[in-house]
Amino acid sequence: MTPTLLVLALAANPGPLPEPMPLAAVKEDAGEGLLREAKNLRYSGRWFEAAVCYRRFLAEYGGSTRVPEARFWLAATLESDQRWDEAAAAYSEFLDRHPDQRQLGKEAKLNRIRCWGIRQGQAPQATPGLAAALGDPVAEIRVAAALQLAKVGDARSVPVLRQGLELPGSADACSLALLNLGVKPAAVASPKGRFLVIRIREAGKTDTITIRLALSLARAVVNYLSDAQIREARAKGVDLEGLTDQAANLPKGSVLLSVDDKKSSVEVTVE
Amino acid sequence: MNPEPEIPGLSPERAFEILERPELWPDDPAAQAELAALLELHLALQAEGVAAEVLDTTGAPRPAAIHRFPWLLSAAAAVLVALPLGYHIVHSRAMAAIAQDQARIQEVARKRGQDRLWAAFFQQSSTLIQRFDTNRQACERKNTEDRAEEREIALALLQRSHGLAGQEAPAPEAELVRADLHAWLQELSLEDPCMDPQRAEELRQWASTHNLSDEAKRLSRALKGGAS
Repeated sequence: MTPTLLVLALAANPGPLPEPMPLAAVKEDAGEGLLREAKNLRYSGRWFEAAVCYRRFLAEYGGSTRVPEARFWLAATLESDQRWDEAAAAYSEFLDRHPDQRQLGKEAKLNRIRCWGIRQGQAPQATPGLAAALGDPVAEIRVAAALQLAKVGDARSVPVLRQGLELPGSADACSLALLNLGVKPAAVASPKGRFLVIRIREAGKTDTITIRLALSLARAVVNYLSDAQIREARAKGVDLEGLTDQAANLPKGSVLLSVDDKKSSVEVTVE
Repeated sequence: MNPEPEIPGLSPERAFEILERPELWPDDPAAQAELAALLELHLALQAEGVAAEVLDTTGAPRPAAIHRFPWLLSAAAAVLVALPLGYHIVHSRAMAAIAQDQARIQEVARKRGQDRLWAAFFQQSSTLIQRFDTNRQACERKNTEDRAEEREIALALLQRSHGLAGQEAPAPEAELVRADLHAWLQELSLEDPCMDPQRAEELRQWASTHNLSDEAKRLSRALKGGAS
């Protein structure tokens, strides 16, 4: 059908025409489309183009309810693209403009800490930003900042890392970071004044190596055991997850566990 | 002039040692003659030494001190100095070896702890992705998938991932996969517990395209091998 015939046909049988969309709705749809495009680009790893899309959305649809989300994902996209300084700045902008975004806000702070951590000693705002984050009201954020500072041997991280030893999700990471700093990972002393003594005798050696651990760090005992020794301990009925509680309830001098493999024999006592 | 007596088959030290004990003298007559002459001289000097001591009490000038066995005294002094020194050296070496062993064991434990942390993160992330892929329970809200549990696990793993980001990665590859998993976990943790099926499919596709589950499982195995 030629265009002239089509016009004539429509004129002969006009029928009900669809109602025109309100301008705001059209604009909203276009904005959604842009966000969808940005997300698809992000999912396929085309970070640069995704960032351009998010920036366009923010420029053109500044009044949209999805601006906070777009601003967060713009920063995350820049982070994925390893544009650390731009990403840190974008997270800061998100945090400044949307202080009411609780969940995204926490993620933004943690991600910004990672960006700063990578740029320590290179970007002027990185180290002061991390040092300031040591005073954040959220323990997880303080610990994340301390872990990054510990990477470059910054001793300001030590008090927060020690606090982190008490947090179940961070205890191991903080313990390792303190060891890397050359600081004994001693948490708050046991109320009963107990500690664990690990005696390791390696095959072919005459001397026994003795390592003392604070009771609160009993979980680290497993790091001194090989997989075979852990299996043996479990076979003997030792609860390796609950070593702290067991050690707290046993009388001093008790042997908590004793395991061997081809390379070494390990005995752990409560003292 | 040779100050030391020369006796056939005997060192000067041995000669002085057996000088006053003729029963230990060698059978060689020449040596015996020499030793006898030496003993005579020695006794004479000894007598003169006693006389000198008597003279000394009377105010006469004191002759030079005569030591009976200067080499013995030297040897004793040497032994007195060498014994504690030797013990100290041997003890220090043993202590240094123990300290080295202790440092090595601590380092092994640190590395093992780090590898196990990363391995556990990869293992749990892989399990979560598999679960997300297969488990498609309907949510109470119509036309949505119940992802409440997966979302909770994702939140916990995301926290772990932040902790790992603050540590040295066991390998550069591990950090790359962690960053990919982190992005996926972040998406899931920010979603509604009752998820739109289309959105769930997007996340499944993403995990599948980046082979996240298999990569995480592979790294978990590799790190567990290193940590054993």
